[in-house]
Amino acid sequence: MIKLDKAVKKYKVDNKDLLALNYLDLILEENCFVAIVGVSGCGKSTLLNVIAGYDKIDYGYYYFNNKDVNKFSKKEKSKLIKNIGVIFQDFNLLEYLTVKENILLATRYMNSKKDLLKVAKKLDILDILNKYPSQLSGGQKQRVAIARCLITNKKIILADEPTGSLDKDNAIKIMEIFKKLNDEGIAIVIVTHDENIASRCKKIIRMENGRVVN
Amino acid sequence: MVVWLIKEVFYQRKRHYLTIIASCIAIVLVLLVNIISSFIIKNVNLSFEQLGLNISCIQLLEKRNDNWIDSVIEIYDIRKYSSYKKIQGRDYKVIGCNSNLSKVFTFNFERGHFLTPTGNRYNDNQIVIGSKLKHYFNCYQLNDFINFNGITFQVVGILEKDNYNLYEDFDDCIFIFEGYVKDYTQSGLYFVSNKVFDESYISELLGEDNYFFIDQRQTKDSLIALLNLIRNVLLALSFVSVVVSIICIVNNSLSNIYSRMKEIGIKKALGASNEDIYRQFILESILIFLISIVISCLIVLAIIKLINLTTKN
Repeated sequence: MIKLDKAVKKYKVDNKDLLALNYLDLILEENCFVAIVGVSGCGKSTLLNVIAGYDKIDYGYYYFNNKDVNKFSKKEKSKLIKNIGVIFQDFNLLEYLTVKENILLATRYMNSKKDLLKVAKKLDILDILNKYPSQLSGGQKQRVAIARCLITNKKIILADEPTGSLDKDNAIKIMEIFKKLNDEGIAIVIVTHDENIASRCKKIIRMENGRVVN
Repeated sequence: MVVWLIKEVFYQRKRHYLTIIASCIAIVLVLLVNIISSFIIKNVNLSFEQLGLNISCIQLLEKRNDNWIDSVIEIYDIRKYSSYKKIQGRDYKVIGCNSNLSKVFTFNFERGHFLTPTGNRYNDNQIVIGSKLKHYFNCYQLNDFINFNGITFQVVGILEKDNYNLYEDFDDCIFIFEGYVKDYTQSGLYFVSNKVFDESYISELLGEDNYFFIDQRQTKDSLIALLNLIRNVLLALSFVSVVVSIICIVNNSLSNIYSRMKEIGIKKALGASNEDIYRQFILESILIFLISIVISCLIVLAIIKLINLTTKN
């Protein structure tokens, strides 16, 4: 489904090139449940941004469903973004919208959508649909963020430290939700530095200095 | 979509306050300056009449018993001169039109004089004649018909000689009424005389040091120049305020965009295209502009009502 071949992503720091992705090779299968782990600055988040289509690699190849993403037109790129849902550590909910509106926000930009109530029921957020993000706990916010991904038919969910700002119980709850979603056929890629969280995934990919080491 | 947009704009209202205030100031100033200047231009003649100035006249001040009497007015209106000359032929010339005659003369029909009350309408074929002309036309009573330049007129007034000197000037004058003059004057009265305005004639009549003229056209010119200056200053001020407001609006909009980068990022992550983001900001700007226009119009209406009320009082 996703293949990175000798991917290089450079950043300029103090006029010197810093290789965030250093000739990285990676294959993510359909329906995978992968944790990408590594120390801070090893290139995890950059990798996530490249996969999500927010960043472009400077060298190498990125194939999505066997198609070269570098050669994608604007339309194809927006299709790629529409296939991939991203969940962040700080939830990224819009404060001025209710939970319901935050979830439906995604449907404003996409044609496909699922039943809101079904999704809400699945994530146990039915009773907070009319609340504002400021009235929610961290776990609830993250479930709303997941619901926002699910309301449109995403094939992959990328999660950048999804449990980073949650307590242990809530973190476990979120991981259970990810597992359920994976069982339903959605690929889950989690970036984390928490080994306990990573151990709940089917596969662990370790990164060091912009490369996959295992 | 509209509900979302309103909600977004409303949520960002603190950021939009400055934009709305700046837009309102610019729109209110431009509207006010335009309304006031067009009002001034439209009503400038009326305003002068209200000030008691016969702006299309030369005013003659006559010295009587060491006092300057300004109730004696020689009318000399360049504006109407040519049009009447054409109609009335070569013997008689229109020398003037008094824009506010009823206030200057108090003629009385019952005493054989004529009265031109404000708003009284006369027909085009009715005239008032000076006292010398009643012998010329053999017309000694009112409502007689006379033939003048091939046109039959009904005499509705004879200007008899009186103790006042002023009537002597009009002994050989014919006064005609013209409907359309109503548009310009309150009395609708024209003078037809065989005398052209001539300062030497006045000098001979009154003595050299016993009179002087006030050419109210000059007064009018200087007043209009002043009004134009005020208008231009107002326009310049409004222009400056518009420029300042535009800078303020652009600056605010840009800072608005920069401070909403996170929101834009979230929306793009959810699949919004650049067009979606542009559309949102453009629609927001239009909505803010519409709100500003409504507020500005209400402010301008309130100001105009207030001005009307104060001027009425």
